[in-house]
Amino acid sequence: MLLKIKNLKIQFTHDGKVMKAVDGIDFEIKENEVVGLVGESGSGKTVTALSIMKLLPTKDCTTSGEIIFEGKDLAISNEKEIRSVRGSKITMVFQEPFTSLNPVMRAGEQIREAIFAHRKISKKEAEEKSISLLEKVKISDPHRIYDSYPHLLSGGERQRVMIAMAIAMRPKLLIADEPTTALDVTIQSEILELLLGLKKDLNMSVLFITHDFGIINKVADRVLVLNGGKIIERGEKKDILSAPKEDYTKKLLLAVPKITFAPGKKEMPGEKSAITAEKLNKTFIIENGIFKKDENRVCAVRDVNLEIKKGRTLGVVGESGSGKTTLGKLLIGLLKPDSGSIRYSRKTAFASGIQIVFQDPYSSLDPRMRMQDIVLEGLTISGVNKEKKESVLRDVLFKVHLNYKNRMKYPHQFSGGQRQRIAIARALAVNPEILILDEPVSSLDVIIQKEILNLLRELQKEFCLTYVFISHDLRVVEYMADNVAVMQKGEIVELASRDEIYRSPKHPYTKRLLSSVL
Amino acid sequence: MLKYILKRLLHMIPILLGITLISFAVIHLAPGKPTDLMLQLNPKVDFEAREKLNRIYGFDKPLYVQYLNWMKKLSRLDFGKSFIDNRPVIEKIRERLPITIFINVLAMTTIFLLSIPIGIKSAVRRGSVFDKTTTVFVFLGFAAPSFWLGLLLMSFFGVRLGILPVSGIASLDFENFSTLGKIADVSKHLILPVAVASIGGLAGVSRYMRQSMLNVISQDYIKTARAKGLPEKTVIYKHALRNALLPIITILGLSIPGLISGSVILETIFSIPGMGRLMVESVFTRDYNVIMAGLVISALLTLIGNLIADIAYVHADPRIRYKR
Repeated sequence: MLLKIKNLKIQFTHDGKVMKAVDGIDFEIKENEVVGLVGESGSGKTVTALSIMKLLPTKDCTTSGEIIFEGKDLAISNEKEIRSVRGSKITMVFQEPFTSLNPVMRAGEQIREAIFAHRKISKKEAEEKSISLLEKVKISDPHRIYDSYPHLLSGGERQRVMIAMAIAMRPKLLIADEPTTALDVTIQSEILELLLGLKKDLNMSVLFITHDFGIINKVADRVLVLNGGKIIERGEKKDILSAPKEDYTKKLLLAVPKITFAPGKKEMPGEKSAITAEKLNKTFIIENGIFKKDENRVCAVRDVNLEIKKGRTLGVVGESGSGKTTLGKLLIGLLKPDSGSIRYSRKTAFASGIQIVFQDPYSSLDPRMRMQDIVLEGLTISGVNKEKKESVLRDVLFKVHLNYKNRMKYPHQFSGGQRQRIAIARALAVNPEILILDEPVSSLDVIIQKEILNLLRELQKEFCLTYVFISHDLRVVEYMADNVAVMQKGEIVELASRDEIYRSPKHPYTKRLLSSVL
Repeated sequence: MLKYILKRLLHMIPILLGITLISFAVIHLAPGKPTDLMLQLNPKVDFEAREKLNRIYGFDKPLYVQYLNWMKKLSRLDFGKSFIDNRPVIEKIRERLPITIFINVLAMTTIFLLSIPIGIKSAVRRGSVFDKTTTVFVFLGFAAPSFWLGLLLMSFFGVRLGILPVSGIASLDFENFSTLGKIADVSKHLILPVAVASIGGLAGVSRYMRQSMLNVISQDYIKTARAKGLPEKTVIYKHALRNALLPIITILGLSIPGLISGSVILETIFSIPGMGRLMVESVFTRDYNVIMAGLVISALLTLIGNLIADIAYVHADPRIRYKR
């Protein structure tokens, strides 16, 4: 037995209030196995991982229980003993490659340091070893990466650097805390392949933390399901996936988006178009300095033509930087196109006819405004009277299933899913025809994700809304869209009905995207 | 990098022009003229003599002509002559400026050397006795006006204890001392002024440093550094410190104007013959040329200080040095 955790409890004290993050969990990790730890945000999965390496803050946080690693209880080990385990026998890869590397140190220096912390070798040797580690994590140009600062690297490259650091000392246990969540789909599957390959080569065990059963299916041997700080179900992967016992696990499994190849609605002749865009172009010029000597041009949207029929959904798929968000902003008029035209069905389209819902409900709502003021702001600006506003408020809150009683609360008093409902209510309050949904469910947990998606479908059916649904997740887009536009580097490389895109993709990029979906 | 510095130097030209215009306007809009002291307060001087004197100094011409004349001279680095003792302004400033710069550089160094370790320590041991003590000290340091603090320190160390001199920068018998004695004498005189000049900045910067450090310590890359098995010292002094210093560089640059204007009060209290006191005296006597020269020079110093801070920032932060 490599790692044995017995009755682990972790509590946080905040303003005198005690919050139980982990409430008495037991589990084991054997040599050479991958254990998947699944749960929603707030279930205690990251806290559990950090506690194994004793990386939790010492202040306001109490841990009890046994963490037995190779026969030794880390929970009662002193700082020096822990340090000899950290980074050598147990290592960790974090979720956010953009923040987990030190921005003022070169990548190579950071890898070298991971070696120096545990072994006294010359700088030259450490450099050679670092380069060979970078080769091991399949970086094509290790010398360039070695000398680069993190901000010059892509997300995938950064995550590979993190992995290189983690495997430097041939660890026994690698803890991977949602290592692919922040990455684009194509990169995601590459990183997963890499981790599995390394696990085989180095004979290590992996504790894989994720909220995504798709990933679990691909990597894990055994699964632990965590909910509210307790392990509610555990077992072999195939058992859990095929015959879950607990309701929560069932719910979690059902909520995972899947590509179903369900046939889409047939388009009828004579449907009216809600929005038509012709030859849209948008180039961003990044200026360095006032004298405009050196400028970088980024073509975010190039020659985009599209038409959306009333009451239909156009899914826009692409990886980060493909221009999908810029396209959304052009359609709603938050950005002006350099050239091209957009026509709306209604003449007075702008303010009220078309609305947008953003990705992150945590930052898209003004934290100092009450819920009712956020929802009604559009009406307040156009000078609608009080009684009318009151009735609209009741109406839209009912539509998005929010309790009218909570109208005086502030955004931080709502959960992520509720906040996204507020954002949708705000958009609906002005009675729009078209909604631009820019990754509306990407930052939500799977169960909430499903709820919001179903809500959006309900609303569309009832009020004949037209959606532009922007997402990087092909599974979610299939669930929502009638037609799908695949974007790459500012261009729509393929635009077709859902059935065609998913069943017989033509463009190689579409094929690649589909093959990386789990 | 060289290109960047050149660019920034070019930027300074319009700013400096603006500064000369504002300095000139502010002074000429204020009531009173240099000649008033000689003329209006003296009943024996008749009207014609006044006119004549005004003509000699050029005060009879329209303001814009006066400004252009002044700028013409300024472009040759000629600041004109003092109305009071007829000595060239540049000479008067040359006597005074080094003292002020010296005191300010000492104050900056003190602030830098003390506030950073204090900030680090109170951030790393947040909520400890040390942290709480420094918090109280910071409140006092921020709140205490420097003239009051100066007087208090003078009365305590100078009068009650009698161990430190309370005014000037050297003793009266300075000339008789050996070289070592001279250094000791000047240092003794500078302790109180430098202490008073640093205390406000010390309070502020140590607070910023604490905040910046707390901010950095909660970042993911600090967790990464710890997860590598690095000793806590390396985590704090190698990984956290370099990142936490970035905002401090900007703040130090921004605090330069405060130090320069603080010199006016400081030098008056401690009777230090520096730029600050020269400026106050010149304002009282409406010595236009000295005031304007002083304003232009301190503005220039501020600009240079900011430039140095910005260059240091660019040097310290690779995200700015190497763009994608």
